[in-house]
Order: sequence, then C-alpha cells, then structure tokens
Amino acid sequence: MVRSRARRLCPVRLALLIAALGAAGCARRAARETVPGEAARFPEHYAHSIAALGFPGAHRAFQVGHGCVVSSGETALEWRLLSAPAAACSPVWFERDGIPVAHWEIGDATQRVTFEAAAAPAPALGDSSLVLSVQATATWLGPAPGEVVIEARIAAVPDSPHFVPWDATEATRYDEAWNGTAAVRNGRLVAVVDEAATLAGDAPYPSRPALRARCSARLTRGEHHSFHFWMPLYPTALDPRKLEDDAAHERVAPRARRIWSEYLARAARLQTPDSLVNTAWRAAIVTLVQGQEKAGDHWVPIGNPFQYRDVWLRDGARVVRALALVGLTDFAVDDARTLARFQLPVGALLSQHGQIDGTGQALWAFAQAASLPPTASVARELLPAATGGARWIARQCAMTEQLRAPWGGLLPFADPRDGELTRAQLVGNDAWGIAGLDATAALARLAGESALADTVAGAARAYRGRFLAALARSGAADVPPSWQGVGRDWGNLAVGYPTLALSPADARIERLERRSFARGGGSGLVSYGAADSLHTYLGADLAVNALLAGRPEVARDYLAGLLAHSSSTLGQAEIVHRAGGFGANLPPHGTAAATLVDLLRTMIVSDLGDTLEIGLGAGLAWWSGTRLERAATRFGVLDVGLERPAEDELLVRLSAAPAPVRVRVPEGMVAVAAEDPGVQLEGPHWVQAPKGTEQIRFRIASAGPR
Amino acid sequence: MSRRTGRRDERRRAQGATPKPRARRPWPWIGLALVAIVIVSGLARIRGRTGGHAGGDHPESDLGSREMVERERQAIVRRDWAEAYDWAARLAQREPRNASLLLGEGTALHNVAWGVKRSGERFTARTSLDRLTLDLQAMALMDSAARLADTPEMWARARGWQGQLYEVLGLPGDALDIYYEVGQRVPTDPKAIGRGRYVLNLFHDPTSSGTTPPEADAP
Repeated sequence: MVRSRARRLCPVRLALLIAALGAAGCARRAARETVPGEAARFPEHYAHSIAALGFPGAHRAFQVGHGCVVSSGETALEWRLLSAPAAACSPVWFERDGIPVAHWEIGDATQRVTFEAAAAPAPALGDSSLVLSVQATATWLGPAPGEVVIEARIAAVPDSPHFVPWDATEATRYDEAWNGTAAVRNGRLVAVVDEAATLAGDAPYPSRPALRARCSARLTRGEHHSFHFWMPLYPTALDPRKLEDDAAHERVAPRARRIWSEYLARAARLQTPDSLVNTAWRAAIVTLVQGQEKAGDHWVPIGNPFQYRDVWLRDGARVVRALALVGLTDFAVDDARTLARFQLPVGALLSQHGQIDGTGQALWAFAQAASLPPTASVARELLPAATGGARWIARQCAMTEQLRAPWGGLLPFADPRDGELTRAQLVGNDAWGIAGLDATAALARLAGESALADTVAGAARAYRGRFLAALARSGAADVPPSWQGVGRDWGNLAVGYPTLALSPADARIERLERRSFARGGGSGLVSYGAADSLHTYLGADLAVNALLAGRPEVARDYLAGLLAHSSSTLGQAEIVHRAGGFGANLPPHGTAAATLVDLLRTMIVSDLGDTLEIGLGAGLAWWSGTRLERAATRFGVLDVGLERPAEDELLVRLSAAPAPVRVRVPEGMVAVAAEDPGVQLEGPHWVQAPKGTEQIRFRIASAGPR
Repeated sequence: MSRRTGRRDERRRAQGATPKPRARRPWPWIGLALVAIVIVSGLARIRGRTGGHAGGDHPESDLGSREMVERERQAIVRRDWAEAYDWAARLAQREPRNASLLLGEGTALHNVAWGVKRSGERFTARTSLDRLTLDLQAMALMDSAARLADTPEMWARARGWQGQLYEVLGLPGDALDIYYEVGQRVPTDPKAIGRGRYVLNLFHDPTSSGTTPPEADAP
C-alpha cells in the first residue's frame, strides 16, 4: 500500500524525526572526522604500537613505534625525554581523515613533547626511496618555567619488534660519525638531527648506539618549541645540504597530506554513523595503496609493508578485488597484469611452492579487475592468461581421474607450506579451481567470446558436480581442510564466499562457521593454530558468507572483533595473541585490509548475483545515515545511501543500476508497507524494486519478541 | 664501530608471549635440488678444449674450460650461486649449441633464483616474481638443451631436469607429465623413472612419505 506523503509530515512524526536526529548527533562515535592534521586517538589493542609510513612505489616503509622511535629497517632514530625520564610514550596515531601522518607523544604533568612524522617521495632520492620528516614539539605545562630536554639516538634497529628489510646491509660492523648534524654510517647519510642539537662525542662501543644528540629548550607555561629530524629510507651518499629543502617538515608533511588526500578522494567513500568503521575503511585503503610496489612499469601488490614484502597470489588476488571495489581501478588492473606474470608455460599461475590454488585465485582476480566495473578491454587483455589457467586446471583434474587417484577428478595433491600445514588434496584448491573456471567464463562473456564462455561454464558446472560428490563422499560434518581429512582449516573456509563452490546457504558452511568462530572463543574472529592465536582475515570469508546467507549478526560480530583487535592506526597484525602480542609479524597486513573492505562493502551493497542487494549487514543504527559513494559494482559505479527519515520509515537512495534491487530489512524490524512506485515487499525481511530504481522507501515495524 | 650481530635474535626472544606466525617462507633449501651433477657431466662434453676463448672482456676469459668448470664447482661448494651462474653462463657462451652446457646454465640460474643470502634467511631474489622470472629463464635454457640434445640420453637428462624443476615448484602433475614422456622415449633413463614412481606414489597417497614405489605402473 502506498501512503500519502502528507502523513509523513504530521507533527508527531516530525518530532520523532527531530529526536532521531538529535540522538544521531550524540551517537557514541559521531565525532569530527575531517580536521586535517588532528590525530585520531584510537586505543592500541596490541602489546606494541607500530605503524607503517610507506608510499606506493617505494621498496621499503618506515616503521613508527613501538615507543618514541622511527626506523628505516637498518637505521633507527629514537628519542628519550631526559627531563622526564619516567614519562611513558603514547601509542602511534594517524590523522582523523585517515591520512597516514603519524602522531605520538610523551610527557608528564609538567611537560609534553608531541611528535608528527610524515613520509613522502624526495626526487633526489629516486622513486623507490622516501624521506621521513619528524617534528618534535615541546610544550611546557608546569606553572613555573622549566627546561625540556630530549635525547635522540641513532641505532641500527629499534629495541622493540621490528623487521630488517631484504635489502638492508649485511654488515655487522660500521663506522659512525657526525658530519655537522648529519649522522653518517660507513660514509652514507642515515639521519639528520635538529641544527640546534648538542652532539654527544662519546666513543661508540658495542651494545650501545654510537651517535646521540641532545635538544633542549627553556620554556614558560604554554610555550612551545619545535625540533626537526629527518632520515632517508635508504642510506645515501648525497650531501645532506642537497636534501635539506626536500626534507623540510613544512614541505614533507603537506606533501604527504596532499598526495594521500588525493588517493583517498579518488577512492570510494564510506560514511556510517560509526566513525571507527569509517576510519577503518580509510585505513584499509591506505594499507592497500602503501602495499603497491613498482616492478618495471607495473604495480605489484605486496603482502605487508614490512616482513611480507613479497607477492603471494592468494593475497594479491584479495588486494586486486579490494582495490577494484574502492574504485582504485588503475592499481587493480595493473596488479592483475602483474599476477598474470606468474604464469608458467604449462598454464598454471604459481607464486610460491605448491600453492596451486594460485591459479584459480589469479583467474578470479582477473575477473574482479575486469568486472568492477565491467570493462571489456581489460577482459580481452586478461582472457588469454585466464584461458591458459583454466586449461591447466581442467588438465590436472583429468589427470587425477586417469591415474585413478583416491579423489579423482579433483586437483592433485599439493604442499603449499602455508596455513594448511599439510601435503594433501586440498579442498580449498578445488574451490578456487571452480572459482577460476567461473571467472574465466565471466571474462570470456565480457570479452564477447560467448562460445568460449559457454564451454568454460560447462566445465565449471561439471567440476562443481564432482566437488559436491566428493564432499558427500567425505562424510565430513562440515567442510574438511583436505579430501584426505588432514591439515588445518584454510582454503576450505572459502568454499562459500568468495569461490561460490558451494551455495552460501549450504548448511555445511553454517556448521563450518559455527565450528570456526567457536574456536575464536567469542572474540568474533577465528583462531589459527593455538586457540589463543586470533587471525585477522582467515574468518573474513565466513563473515561475508554469513551476510549472503542471511546471518548478518555473524558479520557484525566479526567486524566488531576485528576492530577490537586492530592497532591504534586501525591496521591489523596477521595473527594476534589474545593478550595483544604479535611477535615479529608486524601490522598492517594487506589481506586483512582487503577483506575488511570487502566485508564493509558487502554489508552495504552486494552484486554477486543478478540482483543488486542492499543493506545485507546494516543494522538499524546504520540506517540513520550511511552512504557509500563511488562503489564499483558489476552493474557500474554506484552511490548508495541508507536513511531513516522517520522512526518507522527507511529509505534507500541509489544510482540507477541495470539490475533489479533487493533491500534487506534490518533485524528486529519487519517491512509493513512499500511507499514508492514499483517498490514491493518480498515477505517481511526483503523489499524489492525494478532495475533503474533510484529511491526505495518503505515502512517498518518492530518484529516483536522473537 | 658499533656491532649489531645477534641483536635481532635477542630481541625476538625478548618479545614475550606471542603467537607463532604461519610459516610463509618456503624452505630455502628446496631449490637447491638441481646442482653440480649437471656441471660435472658438462665437463665431459667439452670437446678437448683446454684454453678456449669465450671472446668476452672478462680478465679470466682465457681460462681453460676445465678450469672454469672447476671454479663453478668451487662456487657451488661455497653456495655462491651468483658466481656459479656466472661461470656456467660463460661456459655456455663458449659453446652455445652444447646442450650439456646450456643445461648447466639453466640449473645454475635456478639455483640463483632459490639460493639464500649468507644470513640464511633471505632469498637472493627479492620477491617471488623475481624468483619465478629467473626460473622461467632457467626452464627456457633447459628446453633449449633438450632441443639441442644430440643423444636420447642427453635429451632425457634435459627433460628430466625440467620435470624436477616442476617438482621443486610444487607442481607434481606437470612433473609427472614430463617423467612419463621421458619414460616413453628413453625407457632406460633410471632417473626419470625413479622420480616418476615417487610422484605417482604421492598421487595415490599424498600423506605418505612417498618413498615406497606405488602399486601402479610407473609412467
């Protein structure tokens, strides 16, 4: 039934609307988010507070933290507050608008030193290097004047967890000296301290950093004084005077802010009533962009700015999808081209020993890059590699059948030496194999190769049939890690989303989901290995699958768990102990960022089927003003907004899409009436609209006690 | 002078109770399966040269081939894969149609791809893309060696190494394809037959040690 608009303007409803708006204004996290330069002071959930300051194209990243320290991996610049030696250092924070300029502070009741660190390219250093500028601003807080004294020390590596880069020098002894205020090691510049610093002349000796400098300022209450420090990402033979201008804080920090603002402005924008979620979205995009290296003329997706500075197809594929989802299409497509370079003459795509799921994953990534949004030229470009990969998958499956292997018709055994921790015929490999064939069929269709698309789609159907038969034959209660029954849960967690080897609604996946999250012990995450080791992306596919299967509470629990196990800059360590330790496996991890983007996007809009599905994971609170702008979908680039104009009314605003639309009614509520032309109720939990719809308005009521 | 030897390990130990990261690095030694035997066999095929010239500008370009092979062998013993490849490449340059030397160059290049730095922790190739690029070149050299082989035995040896390279990469099906082909064409080649039996056994029981010959016929 369509209700008149006049009713919506009655005084009672207007009062409710005003009350709702007021409540939204006082919401827990509805804070300012766009003040440039202001630190977003989120709590640190890890035992060590560490952030990465990198840049696309660079081959290393600066490490900030834990404590008052920055590091290039082979040179650390560390500060102590000598005038308040008991003062503790804060966590490291990025800025409220998501810009990766780092802030931290140290002090007590009488004095405080705030640090601001920014990294940016410096033309003189080349395109794979960066310069880091740190401004330390001392402020006196005590009633009587006093002196703030900071000591800066040059060390090889930080005392806290750190990573030594692949290309760090293997020298174990070196000459260090001051050249003016420049710290020089083995004849190369490694850091520069403030020009007013007093340089310590102690003779260096083992176990203690050789070069120390002292900066002091006598201040009255409220007075400030700033000191400047900088360092190149790689030791350089350049004269520091030639780099001074490029390294000035007044140049580096604004430059970093400008470039990162441009990246974030190009990317899809997510705004929900929860500012923590909004900042996590931007932090994930920053991690994905920081994880872009250059090899020749092409971008390369790496696993993490520190210890995973390498390519894994299983991780790179996720990064391609996430970058495509947020509209950073140039990165996504070029990363896909890079993944194609992992193709062997036999057709397989392989990045690491025995990780034969890489073939299916790469094919899936090709389809993501070409489909989000649909771009026939990209499909045509990537189709030959995909076809070669699909043929390899089919040939391998035929081989196990011909050899009468115990699980014939599926992929052969593999020993990936990764999360699976076994040598067996892995269920996840087959799930990705099926996804790879589906992706090749989609690419072929997009490229206008209908006959090829039909052939490959037929092969995918047959493969899925063999997969289902094997699953039935396995006798497993849910979905086992391998057909032989051995190994750890890994690729089998992807059998629903994203591979769609099984329908997301399959009861076996729900049982797998329950088993996996139960091991996470109520954390919202799944554990890997020991029960107290939580994993920050392993459960993400189950969470998205739960959204698709109509269990949004599982996805929201996962999101809450992930944010509760993130760093103060909203990066995620790959594996984190319940007590917060992550060992040498430093955050942020690229796949955790990629899967977070995928999850959040699917909570708002999903395009997996022929229908555009809206609000799959949006609880009622998110309907008070959620907007996803410039979201790339298979149906084009869309804006989607979720609104609650009245207490009993919900409204979707979206760009017209060439697909029918379904809207999920938030839990606890039921749809009772459609209010816009063409909009229809589909039972109490769904509302549908024809393709091209730009506004979907419907009335809701409480579902009552369940 | 400052010293930093051992600091990394000390600090890792000091990092307290932390979860063990999953083992993401493949075993660095796995790639060293293809080693000096090819070079030794290559030596036998250098036809009587004792002081041939490569025509290069290297100061040691007037070394005899046997001396170059010996230097390559010594580099392998030192695990200096880059130097070993350098000698192998120079040897192959001297006789570009010598299948054995091409095969030696291919295996040496593969060892560069999978070799580790002196610290024992880092591959000499920075990324998996760099490593695979080198392995693809190694495969191409092995393929050329097979095409230039002037005896069935030499062809079988070159193809066998290609099979073994696929095994090292973790692609047993592709390795088995090659071992089968070698077995069909050169049934007397013991190496390919043996490797084929090993891989086939794993097809039937991947969780076994793979050392027991399978019931089924070898390829």
